[in-house]
Amino acid sequence: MTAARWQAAWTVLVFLFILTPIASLVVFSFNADRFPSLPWGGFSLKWYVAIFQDDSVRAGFWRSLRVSAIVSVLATFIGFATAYTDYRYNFRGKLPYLAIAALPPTVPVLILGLGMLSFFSMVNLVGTLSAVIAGHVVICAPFAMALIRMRLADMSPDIEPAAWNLGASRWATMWSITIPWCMPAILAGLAITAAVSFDEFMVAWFVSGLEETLPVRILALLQGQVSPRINAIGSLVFFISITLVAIAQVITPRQAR
Amino acid sequence: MAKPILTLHALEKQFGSDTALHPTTLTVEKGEFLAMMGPSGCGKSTTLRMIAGLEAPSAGQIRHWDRDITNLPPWERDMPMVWQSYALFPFMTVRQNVEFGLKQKRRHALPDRRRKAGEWLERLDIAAMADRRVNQLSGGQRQRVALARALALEPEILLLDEPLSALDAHLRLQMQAELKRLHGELGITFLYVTHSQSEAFAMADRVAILNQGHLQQIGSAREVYRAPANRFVAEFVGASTIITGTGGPDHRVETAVGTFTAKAGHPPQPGQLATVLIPSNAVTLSATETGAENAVTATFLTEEFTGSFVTLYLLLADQTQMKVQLQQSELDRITLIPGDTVHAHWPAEAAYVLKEG
Repeated sequence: MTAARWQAAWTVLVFLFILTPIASLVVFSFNADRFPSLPWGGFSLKWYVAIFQDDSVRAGFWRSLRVSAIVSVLATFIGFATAYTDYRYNFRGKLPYLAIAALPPTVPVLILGLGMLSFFSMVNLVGTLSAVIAGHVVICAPFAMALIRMRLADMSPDIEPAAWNLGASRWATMWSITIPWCMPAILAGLAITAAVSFDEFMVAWFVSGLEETLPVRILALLQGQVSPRINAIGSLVFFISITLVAIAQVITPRQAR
Repeated sequence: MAKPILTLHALEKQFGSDTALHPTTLTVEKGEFLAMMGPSGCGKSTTLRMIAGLEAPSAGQIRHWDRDITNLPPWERDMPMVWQSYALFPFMTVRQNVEFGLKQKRRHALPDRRRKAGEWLERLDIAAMADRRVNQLSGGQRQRVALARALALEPEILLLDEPLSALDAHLRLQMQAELKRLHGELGITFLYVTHSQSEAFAMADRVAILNQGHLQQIGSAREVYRAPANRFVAEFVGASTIITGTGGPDHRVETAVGTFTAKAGHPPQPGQLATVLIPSNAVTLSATETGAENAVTATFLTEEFTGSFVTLYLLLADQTQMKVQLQQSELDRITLIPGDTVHAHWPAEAAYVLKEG
């Protein structure tokens, strides 16, 4: 075989290794049998029906959806504001400011979760959805910032001054020039941060208390029993996340202008 | 004299420890075409940006008529600018770009805005591409959109920051003519920043020459050309050969390549340093010695053709380069090969002595 073929074979192997568990999860979520084993026990939607009838799963699902919706808006707003201050202003301590803004994803989530637990208990927020939301905003904002910063880097430094020069105040310029220019990155930021928040487990597990989000609920289910319902939930979570990521991928601004 | 439309009073700009503009005072008359020129980093663009309100002066004052606008934000100044980079709004159509300024003013209703933008699109010959996105346009077309966008506001003062330097030579000449025509038709005051003296001299009523943050000279092209204020201006304009020497009696200057009589400009002071400018178009060349006064012997280096003129470069005995401009037809008289010896002379009335000190 030629080198190119070896490369192709190797690539296929790697993707199989990554995707097989996910594929089997999806496949067995439609299996009528109780246990995920071959032979295939026939097609069934009963596990999906079961999770929709399980109040705790339904509640977790809606909580996760609400949290990710709010988080995506807050995190993208903060990400935009951070990226814009970096673009427009020069100030002392700009480098540490940016480093701190980009820091959260580099901290192990376990440490982050513990830190938030101890902080939120001091301010009496533990066990509330607000705590989960605040935690997720911290984790998600840097992703939105990175996307929007990339977009702003492509904006000519003369564009905003040109708008001011034509009589547009800073505020009018922000709305009529800067935000429209950043819109692809803002939409991509909304999608990515929603995806990250939707399947984030560790922070939610530490601070959610009884307000379980879907990933936390899944773990609780797993601890009690191994049920094919897990496969059904897993498939749903996977498709929601992958859809959001795909949306982000499609609208992420390219180099081309 | 009429009241100036724009006054810069002891205007100054520092960036940290660097001085971009030393205290500078100048006035601009209503309706004039003033070009500010100088090499890059001379402070011309900084000055324009301060006038537009995009840079805050470190000291000094800017007045529009009698109104102090030094601290006014840019959107309240009504002095639209044409940018070297065009700075068009990339996600808008040509028409939306031209309407942008009118939209901000709010005193224009939509139909009024449409009509006005339409007029300017028409006037600058870009109406056919009104609904195209600006990134589909060529450089020359973009520059027209930028001009229309600024002029649609019908300002009293138009600021232009090297608007033609991104265009190729042919288009540049065409736009030069168009800018000059527009200036004549509209009666608007043009403040034009450029590093190109040919642009400045071709269009401006007056030119202001800056160097390293100092205003060197301000005056008509003719004044600057004929009577440069100092050595920098003379070198920047580049129309003369510069020879330094010591002043003597009766307009005489002693130099390393001979003693000359220089009757124009400031009379040389005996015993003092004297800088003589010999206009390149005042020099006569001959193959043999003529015995004329103000003559030098030189080595022919090279020639450059520009239109109907030819510029010859000669080397004098003290390694000074001499520039001689002749009509093509005059060149037929004398055949030169690089390395040839040639004799040059010029009338005493043409040699100009700079003011020293």
